[in-house]
Amino acid sequence: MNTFQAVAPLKGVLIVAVAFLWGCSSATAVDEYYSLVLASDSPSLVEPVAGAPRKLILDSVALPAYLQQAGIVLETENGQVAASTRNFWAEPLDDAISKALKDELSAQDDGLTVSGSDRAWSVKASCSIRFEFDRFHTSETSGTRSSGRFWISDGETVDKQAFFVATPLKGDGYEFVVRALRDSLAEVATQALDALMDRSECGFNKSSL
Amino acid sequence: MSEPTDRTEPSAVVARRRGVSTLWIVPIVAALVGLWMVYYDWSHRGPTLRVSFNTAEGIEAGKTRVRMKNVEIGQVVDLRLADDASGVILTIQAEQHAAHLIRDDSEFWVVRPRVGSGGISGLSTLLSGAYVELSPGKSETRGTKFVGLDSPPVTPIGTPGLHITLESAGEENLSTGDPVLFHGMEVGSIEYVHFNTAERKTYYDAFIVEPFNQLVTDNTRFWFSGGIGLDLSADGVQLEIASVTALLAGGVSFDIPASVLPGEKITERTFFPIYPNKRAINRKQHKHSLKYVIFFDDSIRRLRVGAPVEFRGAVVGRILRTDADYPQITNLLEPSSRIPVVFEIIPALMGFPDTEQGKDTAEQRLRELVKTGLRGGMEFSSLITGQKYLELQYSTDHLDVLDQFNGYVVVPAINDQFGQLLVGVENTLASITDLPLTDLVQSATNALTAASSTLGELELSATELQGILADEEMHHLVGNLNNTLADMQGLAVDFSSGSTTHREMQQALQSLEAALQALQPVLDEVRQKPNSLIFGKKPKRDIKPLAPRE
Repeated sequence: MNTFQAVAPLKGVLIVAVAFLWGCSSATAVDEYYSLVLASDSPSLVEPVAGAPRKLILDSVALPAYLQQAGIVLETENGQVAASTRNFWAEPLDDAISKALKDELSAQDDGLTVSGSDRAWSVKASCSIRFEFDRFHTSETSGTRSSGRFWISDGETVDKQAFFVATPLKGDGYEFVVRALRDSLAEVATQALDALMDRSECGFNKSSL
Repeated sequence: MSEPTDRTEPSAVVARRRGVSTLWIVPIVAALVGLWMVYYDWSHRGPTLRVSFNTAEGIEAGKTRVRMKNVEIGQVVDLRLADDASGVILTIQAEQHAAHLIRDDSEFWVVRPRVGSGGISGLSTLLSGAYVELSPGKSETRGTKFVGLDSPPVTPIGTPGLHITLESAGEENLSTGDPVLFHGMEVGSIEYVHFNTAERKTYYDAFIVEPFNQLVTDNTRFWFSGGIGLDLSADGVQLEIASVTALLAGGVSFDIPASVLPGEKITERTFFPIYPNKRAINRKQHKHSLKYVIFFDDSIRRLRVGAPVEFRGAVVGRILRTDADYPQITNLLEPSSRIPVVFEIIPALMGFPDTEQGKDTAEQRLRELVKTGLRGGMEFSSLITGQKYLELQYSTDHLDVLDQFNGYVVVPAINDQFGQLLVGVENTLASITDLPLTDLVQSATNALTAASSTLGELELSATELQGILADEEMHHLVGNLNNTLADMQGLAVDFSSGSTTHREMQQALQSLEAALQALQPVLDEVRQKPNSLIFGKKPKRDIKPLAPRE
């Protein structure tokens, strides 16, 4: 008996095993990663103007637990929330929101420099702002929802204001969700700047903008 | 044609009236009125006075008024130079109602603006012009000629109080108007200052107002109270500061010496000497003293006149002279020259009566004491000021005959403190000689032997320690320890807050936390479906968000 004849029964076993493993293997999944900062065409990556007359410390951005995950959260029609299994945030969402808000605030007020709390020791700012989000997700069919509140403090007094921004999607898919969420942050920044206008001790006035 | 007539012309009969015409009434009445007016004027006119002044500055005849307490009592009616042109004479027509005020001792002065140590006065006359002020007298007789004062009297006539006279031969001086103070309160003032060239003394007339005049008794003492006194004497440094009033205005103060009861009250003008300062009034005054002289070979610098003479700390006299101006001393610069110091011993301070008899007894006793060893020596009373005093003490020397110098008994000197130190050293050595030195030496020898043995052991220990320290391994050990410590120090720097390592570790921990968070769904899935690792997980349907439809 030659060698081929000896291995012939093993060949069949091998083919069956390969077929079995092929069958067990799952289909290839394609994951998508999104960034809030890159989602906007605004000059968000421009460095703050040196020597800007107004300075603001963005103290912190707080998110509820269900938003503290990589998957982009979607609210179903029946009120459940689900994180996408293929569409993820490219970085922790609180960091991403913090960067996006700083960019929006600076972009909407040329004379404003917004710094994070990690640079508070080197920035002589008279006021700080802190955000807390309740919602920062999309729904299945009715667009995104951003809501929460922010606090403006001058070291002695603290003003609190709530916000709610609903932004419709301009297309299907998470790509448009991210863009809509970024647009909602622009609206939140606008509301924050409006609130700052009433705080002269923070160096703002109606003619600042 | 007209016819002649025989009618006679009637003639008037002139009748001569008898008596005086009523027309004369008018001039008579006028004369009577005139006489009455003259009488009235005469009867209401006061005395006419003549007052001489050095100058008539600000005075005008017919204008300048005479006042007393701002009430007009007369007017200057004439002003002329004195015959010898030494001054001016004012003729003052006083009013009748003020006549009784003008006595022999009344005083007149011109009130005009004045600026002096007592302040500014007479400013009101800048507009109204100068006027003559009257201070009424108390004399029984009236006067018509007066010598005006150059300035207002310090004390108006009639002010109740006491006039005294103070005398001083010192360099301090007072001025008219300077205050007399009692415990810092102004109770009087200096009225007049007079320097007696023959006596070379200054006399001050002072007035103390009632009721403070009762404080002046026969043992009251006055002193110059102005300024700040710094006394660097053999008693040390003493600072004496007067009250604020006295500092500003000077003046003279009075009180009775400490621990002395007030004496008899003074009722008439009495003379009081003025002491240079308050401390001086407390020095007892003794009538009798005995003078001696002592010669020093060494410098008598800082042995001042007035320095105390003490015996065992008690003051018995003071230094009177430290100069060498004696006829017996012809060349002070001879090497053998000695400096004479004259001092006095007060018998009363030795316990003898302050009488001639007490003085004689004390003198006799002092002669005996000097013969039997009473000597004098200079001592430092204050190391700060370097002041010296004379200390009387006893030595073992005896004298048969007392020396005399310029009429004074010579008290032999114990030489300076260095000489006294030598005497002390000599005495100490004598005491040491009397000590049981043989036993002490034996004990010391034993102690030294024991100490020598101990030192030998210490030397051995030191040698061994030196050997250990010189060991090569010990050096390596020390070197390794140093390197280890340096490494630990570097490590601590690397891991300190803000360092690169610290930051990298923090980032690594954050990454690990993120990875664990990402693994959490997998772990949850494995926990719920353990075979999912092999068979995989049925993928959930990923809901796709949709844009609102038009």
